[in-house]
Amino acid sequence: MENAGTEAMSQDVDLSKLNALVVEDDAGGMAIIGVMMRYLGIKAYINTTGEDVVTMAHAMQPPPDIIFLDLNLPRTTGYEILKLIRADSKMKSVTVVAVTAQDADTEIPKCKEAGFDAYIGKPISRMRFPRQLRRILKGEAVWETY
Amino acid sequence: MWKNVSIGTKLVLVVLGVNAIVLLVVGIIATTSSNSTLRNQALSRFANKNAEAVNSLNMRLVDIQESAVQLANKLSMIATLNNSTDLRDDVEGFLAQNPHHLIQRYNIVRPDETIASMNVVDPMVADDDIWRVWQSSPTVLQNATLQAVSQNGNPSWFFQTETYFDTQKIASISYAIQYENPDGKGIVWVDVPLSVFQSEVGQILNNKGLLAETVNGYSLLFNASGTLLTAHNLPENDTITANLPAIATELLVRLDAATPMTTGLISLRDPFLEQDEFVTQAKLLNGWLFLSAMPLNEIPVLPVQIFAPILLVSLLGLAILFEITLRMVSRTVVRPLMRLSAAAAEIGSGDLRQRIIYQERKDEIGQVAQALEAMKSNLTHSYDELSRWSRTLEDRVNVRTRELDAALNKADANAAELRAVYDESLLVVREAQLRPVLNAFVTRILTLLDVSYCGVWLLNDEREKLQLVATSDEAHRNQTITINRTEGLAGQTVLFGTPIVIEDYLNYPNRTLSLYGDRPAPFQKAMAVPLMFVGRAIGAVVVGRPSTSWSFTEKEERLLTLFANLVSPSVRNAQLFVQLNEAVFEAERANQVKTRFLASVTHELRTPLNLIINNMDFMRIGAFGAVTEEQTTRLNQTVRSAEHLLYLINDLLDVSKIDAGEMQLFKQPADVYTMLEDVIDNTQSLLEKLEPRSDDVEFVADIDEGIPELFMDVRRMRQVLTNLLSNAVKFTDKGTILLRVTREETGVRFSVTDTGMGIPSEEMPKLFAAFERTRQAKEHNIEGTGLGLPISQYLVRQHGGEILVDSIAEKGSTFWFVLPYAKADDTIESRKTDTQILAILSSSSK
Repeated sequence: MENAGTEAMSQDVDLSKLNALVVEDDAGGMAIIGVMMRYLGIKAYINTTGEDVVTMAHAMQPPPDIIFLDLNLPRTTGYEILKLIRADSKMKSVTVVAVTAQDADTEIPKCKEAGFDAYIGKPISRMRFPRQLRRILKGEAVWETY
Repeated sequence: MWKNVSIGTKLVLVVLGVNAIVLLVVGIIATTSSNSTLRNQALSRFANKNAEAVNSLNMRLVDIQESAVQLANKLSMIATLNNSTDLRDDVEGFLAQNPHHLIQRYNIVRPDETIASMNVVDPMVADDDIWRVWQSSPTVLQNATLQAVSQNGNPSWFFQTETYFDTQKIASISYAIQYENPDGKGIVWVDVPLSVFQSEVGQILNNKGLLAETVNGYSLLFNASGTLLTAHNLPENDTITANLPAIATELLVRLDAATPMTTGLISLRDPFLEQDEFVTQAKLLNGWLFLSAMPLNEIPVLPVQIFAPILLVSLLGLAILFEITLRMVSRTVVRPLMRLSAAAAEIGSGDLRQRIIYQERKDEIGQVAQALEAMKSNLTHSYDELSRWSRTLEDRVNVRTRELDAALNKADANAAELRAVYDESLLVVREAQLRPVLNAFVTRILTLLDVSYCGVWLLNDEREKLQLVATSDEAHRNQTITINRTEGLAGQTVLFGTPIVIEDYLNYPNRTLSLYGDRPAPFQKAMAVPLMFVGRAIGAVVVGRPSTSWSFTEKEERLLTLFANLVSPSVRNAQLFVQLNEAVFEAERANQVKTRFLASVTHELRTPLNLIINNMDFMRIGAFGAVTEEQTTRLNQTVRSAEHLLYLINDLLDVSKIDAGEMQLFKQPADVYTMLEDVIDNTQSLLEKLEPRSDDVEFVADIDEGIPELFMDVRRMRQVLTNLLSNAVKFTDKGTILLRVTREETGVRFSVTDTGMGIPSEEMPKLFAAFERTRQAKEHNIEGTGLGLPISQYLVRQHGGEILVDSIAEKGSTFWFVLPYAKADDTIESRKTDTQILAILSSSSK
């Protein structure tokens, strides 16, 4: 019998050593990501326009372990940014997670097609986010919504 | 008819006729004799009724006598002489106790021969005259009857017309009786006015139905001295009115002279109308005579109930006579005739060896036998002739039969062609592919009608243009050729709805000039028939031949019309099918647009919800600074509400997707344990957020080890389990919520058991219906969209399972389903089973 305390299963990844890049244009969404990262002890940079994401990633020291991409951005889309990342020799293998409030049924196939590593629908869940993150970093398929 | 009847039957019928006549005569005699019985019956009924009337009259008389006797008895005991006022009181007292409806006056002759009279009936009598004591007038006391009564004391009836007082003169019938008291002897007599008595008699006669028995009959009452007292129903004429007493007396005379019949009736000549009549008579108890008369011609005649038995007897006799006659005739005539008839029949069937008997008889039978013999020899000759002819005939028939067979084969071939066209027309319906089928149709027409050209034109949906949809003309293939609806040969055919045959198309005034441009038309002789559907032309078929060929015949016109009729319903069906498809496509597209709209709207809702839920949640756990206990409670509530809103949005979008056929599942091999971790976490957080927080509910997950990966849409299965578990949390106050996942033979069994309020059986049907919520959910005000279970059911079914429920009200419920171990290539197409949830959704909206 397996009881509810499953936290131990996924604790092999130390989230506090992570470096993250977050692309999020919405101020509220930004704030939430900020809180979440702080809560988990993750060092995070936030890009609020979606422009120059690759440049920003290059500038990060140490370079990002994971990039969270919002799909809807003012002048571009998460898909466009992903293309740029995958086209970049240094960044092409970084883990990229789509984070969006769009309809999952519509976006998940597109994200898989485009080459995202994972998908977390908004609203993100404080309870589930840490384990989702650990699973993503372990290479598991995480295509989930609230 | 008569000629066809056999001789035997004729004889029988003749004899029977004679018998019938004899019996009829006998019957008439019998009827006549019984008529006298009938007459006697009618008369005795009349006599009986008269006797009944006499009885009633006697009772009235007794009544009157009794009244007088009573008064006399009374007077015997009181003084009658001295005080007149006392006497009046006594008499009034008596009358109050013994009223009588006929007696109008009571008279008391006192011992001193003064008379006291009391008027009781007549309201016209003046007050002074009600009681009057008067000196006996000579006329009264000289009345013989009163004298007699006073002298010998015998009571007596009498009739008088006297002036009792100064003014009144009344005809009365009266009864007198003597009384005696200490004052001496006196007489009481009571008067019944004749008019009163007459109407009383009339009433009796009516009641007894005596007068109803006769129209011109009458009833009379005479007193002992022969004076006519009452008369009822007498014929009225001047002579009778003037001479009534005399004629009445004449009646009595004739009555005396007549001889009573056995029934007590007397037959005599009526003196009033001088006709024959019957009289029934009887003496009343006081010697008066009451009689009733009925004219002879009113006596009824034979009714059917008497006639019927006579007829029956007659018929019986007839039947017996018939039988006897039949036997006689049969022996002497019928049997020989039947033998001869059998012989004739055998000759008719070809047996000419038959020997004819009875030829030696000298009567008609013998003649018939000889005629038969002659016929037999003639026939023998004829048969020889006939057999020669029949051989020739047989040869001819054989020739003709071969010809017919050939024609039939050809007809069969035609029928097969027709059948083929019809089969092809059916294809139109199934395939909704109009053009290929019509092209095949054109090809077939070419061979069948032996024409060089065939074209099919159809009206468009707006019925404004005709389009050439199939043609044998190579130059027109793969072109869109459209003409106005009344243009050309096709247009005219559609316009008039009848076939058109043209000998020379080049000179046909209505032909479409532009149709063939510079080149000549590929035909000259043309025929067109309309394609009709429900009385309306929907197009036309045009066929043509070169000028050198033969003209179109009526038969060909009929054949082409038949073709057209066969094909046009299918063509119309196909057109409608296309339209319907378009309409369905439109509807589906509208649904998809709606779903897409909903999807984009939900994006706009999820964005702020992300902010709300997470801000509250972080605040709740103190991420933004310390919170009080109350703030925690409030934040719990808010997060729950916001989550509820989020689930509602998700559910609505899901239903819309299912409805529009847009629900897509992303199945892939997936680890069950990872999914369960998520689900378990979620359930625990749900329990933590419960307000007030309940420690009475224990959540237990019991999961088998070694469960293989399942081919599933993880996100959707997680949604299903979360839904089932959150339901369990919502409906359970106390006890255990158990998530059990076990390996079964065919798949993995997921079950969620709670110890909650359970589901009464009557609520079960609602469970999986969209927008339905159980009564318990409503009563306990439990949050929910009413969509969770229907969506879950749909999702599980899409995975090849089925959510089932075991529940006992007040004890708890178990929701469970089995996900089969599926192979990766066993892809279930979601579109195909959409109808299931559609059925669920539509049934719920009722």
